[in-house]
Amino acid sequence: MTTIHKEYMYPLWLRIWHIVNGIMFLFLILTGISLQYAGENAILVSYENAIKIHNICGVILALNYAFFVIVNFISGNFRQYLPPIKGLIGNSIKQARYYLWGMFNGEPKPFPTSKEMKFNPLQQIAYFKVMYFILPLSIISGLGLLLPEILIDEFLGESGLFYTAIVHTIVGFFLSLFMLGHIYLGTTGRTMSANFKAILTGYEEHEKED
Amino acid sequence: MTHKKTARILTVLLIVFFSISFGQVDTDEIMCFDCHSDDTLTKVDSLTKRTVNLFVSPEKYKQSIHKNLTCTDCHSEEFEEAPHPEDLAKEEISCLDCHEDGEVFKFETIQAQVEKGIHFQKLGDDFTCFVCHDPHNFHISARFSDDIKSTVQYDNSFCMNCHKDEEKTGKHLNLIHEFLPHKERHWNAVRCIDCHAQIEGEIVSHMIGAKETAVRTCVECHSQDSRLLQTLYAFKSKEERKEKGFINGVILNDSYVIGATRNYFFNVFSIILLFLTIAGISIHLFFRIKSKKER
Repeated sequence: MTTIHKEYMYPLWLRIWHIVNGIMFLFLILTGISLQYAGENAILVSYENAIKIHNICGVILALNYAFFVIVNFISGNFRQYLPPIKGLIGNSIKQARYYLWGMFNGEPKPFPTSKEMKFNPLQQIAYFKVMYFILPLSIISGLGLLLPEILIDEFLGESGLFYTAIVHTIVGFFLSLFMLGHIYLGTTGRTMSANFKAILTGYEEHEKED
Repeated sequence: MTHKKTARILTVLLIVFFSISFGQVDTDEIMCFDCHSDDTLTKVDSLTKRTVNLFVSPEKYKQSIHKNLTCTDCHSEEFEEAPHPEDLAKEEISCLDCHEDGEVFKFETIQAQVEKGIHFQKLGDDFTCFVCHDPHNFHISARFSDDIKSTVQYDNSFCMNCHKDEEKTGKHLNLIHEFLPHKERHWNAVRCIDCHAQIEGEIVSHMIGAKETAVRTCVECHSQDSRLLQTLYAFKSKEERKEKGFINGVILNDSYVIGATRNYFFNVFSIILLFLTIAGISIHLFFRIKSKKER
């Protein structure tokens, strides 16, 4: 007989950071698109409002990220994002095979989530890049656009503002794609909504054979 | 064509011919500079009773658009007599004497635009070309210079001669531009007239309206059809805009304008990537649902 076993996986600080990050991400994407494709007929939000919302949400996201970095380090949670080098390729292939084949055939997860290992190898690689490189790049370039006087005036014949804006736009776009994938993978838990419940309540449900 | 017009054109052609033939006028040989290169030279205007600065910088004159003219090409020859006869104070010079509308000049059109503008409405005939443009050091920047920042700085200096002075205008520029994010950056990147003049034809618009008519909607510049392409960047080559696939690439010379700086290849590439991501997710979801039903 299968029973449901609950495990406390996501502490309060992590849940607060995650929900704030998610909401800010959403606003930043919507206003970012509005700014990039601004015109007389606003596609989502008017330019004037988009600028204000984008700036405010960007600052909140940056402060929230600083909070994450500090508590993530103190609590030791940062280790969750470090993929073990040994067996990395083999484990990644195993996980990819599960996503592309095993999942459709009812196979068990090759790396079931636990308190000790919250992410599978592919998630570790993706989150490691996003959390420690891409998101900081987005925040730093955003800060440069918010305070353009700190940017270099010219580099290789173009203004520092130009490079910063290009980096910010490209990074923002890839983070938007990441968010789409992240939300979709959120539906691949025990049920479609199980992972969403877990990140809101902190408790993840596991099936156990008695 | 009247004889008067023919005579004027011939005079201009002769001046141009001699200027080309003998090169730039040597300011050292212009005796007027004996006195007028003194930067303390002033006089009290007998009509207005105001102190008038009579200094003309020889260095700036040498670089001005009128560098090939001698003083008496515009001023009366009677000025060669010093001290100048008193009645010459009433001398009226009009740019239109040389710059009537034709192939090169459009000064009559400009004059018509000026007369529709706020300055003319407030100052009437006192608002001559010389209030903004000093013919002794004037040069055209927007049309010929690739350095947009210098153009902006130079063109804005005409406005700033009066408008930076709070006592003259009664308004503080910082306060009335408070709505503008990063206003210093805007002031360094675009000219006052880019927002305050109404676009009309292909010449630099001189129809500067009341402050209520100025651009306040961000998307007029921050969009694919940015008005900057008809103003500050109007004289840049259209071909330049296509380089590197950047839509409005001409703006890239010195700036990144949110909403206006776009790249065709990036746009296409991003749409393809977005489509592939959504398609991948949809296909995956479809097989998940299908396999679950089958099990």
